[in-house]
Amino acid sequence: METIDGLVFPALTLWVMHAGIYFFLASLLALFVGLGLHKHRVLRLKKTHTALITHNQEILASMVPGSSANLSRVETFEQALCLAEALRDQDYKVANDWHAVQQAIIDTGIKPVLLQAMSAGDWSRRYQCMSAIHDLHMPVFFDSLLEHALCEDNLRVYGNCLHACSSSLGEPEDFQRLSMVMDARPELSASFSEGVFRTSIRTLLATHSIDQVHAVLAANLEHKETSLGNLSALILSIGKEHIDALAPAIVICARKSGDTIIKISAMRALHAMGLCDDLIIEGLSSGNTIVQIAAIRSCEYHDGRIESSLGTLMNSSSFDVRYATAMTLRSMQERGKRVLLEVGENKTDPYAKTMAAFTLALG
Amino acid sequence: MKTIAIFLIVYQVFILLYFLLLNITYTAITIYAFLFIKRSSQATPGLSRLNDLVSLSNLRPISILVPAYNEELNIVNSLRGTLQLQYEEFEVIVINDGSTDDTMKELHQAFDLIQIDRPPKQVLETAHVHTILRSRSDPRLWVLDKDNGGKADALNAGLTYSSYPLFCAIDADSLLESDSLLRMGQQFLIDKELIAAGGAVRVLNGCTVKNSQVIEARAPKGILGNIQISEYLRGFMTGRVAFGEMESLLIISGAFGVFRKDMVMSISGFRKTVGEDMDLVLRLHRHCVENKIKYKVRYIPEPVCWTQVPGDLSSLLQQRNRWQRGLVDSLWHNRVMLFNPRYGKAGMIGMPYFFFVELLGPIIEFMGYFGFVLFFLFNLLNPTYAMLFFVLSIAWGMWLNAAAVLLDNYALHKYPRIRDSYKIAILGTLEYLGYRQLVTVERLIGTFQIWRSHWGVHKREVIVESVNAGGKP
Repeated sequence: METIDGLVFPALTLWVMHAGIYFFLASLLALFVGLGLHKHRVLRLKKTHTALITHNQEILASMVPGSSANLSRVETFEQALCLAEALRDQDYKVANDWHAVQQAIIDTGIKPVLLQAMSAGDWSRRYQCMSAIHDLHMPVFFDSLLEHALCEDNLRVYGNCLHACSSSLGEPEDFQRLSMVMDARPELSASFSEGVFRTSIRTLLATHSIDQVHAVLAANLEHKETSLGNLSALILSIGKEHIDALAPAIVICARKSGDTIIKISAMRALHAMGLCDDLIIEGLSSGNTIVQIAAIRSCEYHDGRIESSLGTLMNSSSFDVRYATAMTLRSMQERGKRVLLEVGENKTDPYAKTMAAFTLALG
Repeated sequence: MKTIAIFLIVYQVFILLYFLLLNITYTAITIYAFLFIKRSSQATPGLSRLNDLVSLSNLRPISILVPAYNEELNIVNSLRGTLQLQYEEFEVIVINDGSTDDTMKELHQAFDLIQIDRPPKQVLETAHVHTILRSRSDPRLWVLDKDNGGKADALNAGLTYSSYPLFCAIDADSLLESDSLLRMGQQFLIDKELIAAGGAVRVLNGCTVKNSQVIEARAPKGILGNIQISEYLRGFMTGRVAFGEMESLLIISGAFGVFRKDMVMSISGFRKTVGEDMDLVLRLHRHCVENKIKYKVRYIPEPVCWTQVPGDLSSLLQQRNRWQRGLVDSLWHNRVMLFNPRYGKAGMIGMPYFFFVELLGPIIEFMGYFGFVLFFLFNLLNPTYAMLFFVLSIAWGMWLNAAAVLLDNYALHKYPRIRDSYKIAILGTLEYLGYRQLVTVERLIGTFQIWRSHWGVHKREVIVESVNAGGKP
């Protein structure tokens, strides 16, 4: 009797199976060899790139004002990435004549290479290009970046493009231009705005006087067309970068806006600066629990008369309010501890008493 | 006799066609994943750039839920790692699900817990929660001590007490990479339609661990661990990537997933089943489609969770049995989605894949092995054809394994030493010489044990911290 296999598989199938086996075994071997070659190539490239980056770093570090640099010529995208990496986290602006460094970088021919990569079809290339421009900190790319930010569809690249803009600001006015470009796509930019504003502030402070930077930030706080998301991010950025001189401007902005998010951002910004304002004190009695909790979390730097208000808030019917109050009192150390002890001993409210006891037990 | 012959021919053709379809699908998935991951890995920012890129204050706070049942060996180590995560605002809620070992004692000793009366934020029906505790040494850590109710029940208890709009479910014997939560949070910040995202789960066995962080990925010593690594790589680096990009991802591992809490609460949290992770994602798909909500469920390969895989065969088989039961239950409970165009690609690609490949796979594969033995016994086997088919199936399988290892090396370079990559690729190929057959039989048994809700006893191994980190073993 013919075997079942013989009936099912004609000679052609036999041939196909043979071919399949040879194909998979050969490609398996190729994969194993490929794995080794890939590891080897990665190591070799890393070595070459490290050498190029170190070479560029040494030249940049040894530059003195008035001298010309002998940076390696940039002809490929990979070489551009190496040059950019040489500038990552390095502060050549302080050690050298920054204009001369910029000119030396331009002279390598990096600009056309990066501009070409900026319009590449492959989004990962565009992304890497934006990262490189960010590391270069060169205003010559700013206009192209702004233009690109208006039409980039890939979210990752868009965020990285804004980030590159923030480190390429040349003049204080560029901050306003960047802010406007972000406001053109508020839904997209809101996710990145705080990071972008903080880097922008640092970039401007490194190259311009404090007064110039304050003026442009104050103008932006007053700008009526800034979206709420971006305004909130700007306020927080000012707070986190400790631009204390702008605290009154932030308070005015929050009062003018009246928006809950802006108010909360203003409170958090003031807290980040280590300040306390009437805006926060008013927030403690707000009917909106979210505003109230934000105020409670931001009031620890207030001097003196805040403790009684916090003691009262320990009686709140909301667990979240009691908890936030207790944690703020805890962070106020001795001042807070006194209030917690009072609440624990005198109050008839068992919830307040339990929360106070719990917080004191936390130590 | 003729009828029997026709039946056997049809039987064989069916098995052959299934084999071809299955492997062509796997190959297509591998190629598709390769094309995506190649680009994605080139555009993955480093941690310092990531910190600059995102608006940290806008990152939505996350509640990390850690259900724990008899986890005395690793819970402290795992939590220390979790508390080191780089993220603006998060809380960790450990749910002790009626452990019978010293899990609570370990927690008390390590984190100096004190009791607090904290009301639930929302209500889900769960087993009784006796005590709510908070750590004095790290105020972000909360512990719920409750009656045993299973993993889904523990997660629901965690959800009721969680404060934040996103939650992350992780296993108590896993270690998250320090930037993993940040990378996840960034995705939720950028993409407003994202409702659930899964990260990569990798095998912890064999890795060098210091201060509750994996500092160097290594291949484990035994064959079992290496085979599981190649399985995980195939599953996560190819399958999940491809299905995620095709908008038909139906599973986010229970070991590491981040979800929008409002969406999960709107479907009453986790359903009590042993496959609670897959079931949740399927119900989220259904909920969003049925309520016309724009949504995305994604897999993100860069955030990594390192998890312990079973080191002995018995635990491994129990785990696979449970996974299969969970799969069958989840697919049955959400069967309305199968081939239903209303559910888009999830219904037309994801569900058919899980039904034909994952659910029917063990049955058909077993039929293949059974047929092989039967034909041999009745002398109906042509040794040439049989041998060729056997070699072809092994060669194809080995190719798929090696491709997944290469893809991982190409894109993410998690295993820095070449010999580890080779070890995984070579030992992984042994999967087809006994391991796969055993797992297939266990999965087949699991398919027909759907009524069993028992989790099984997983033999734990302690996570060993390296003393001389970075040195040679």
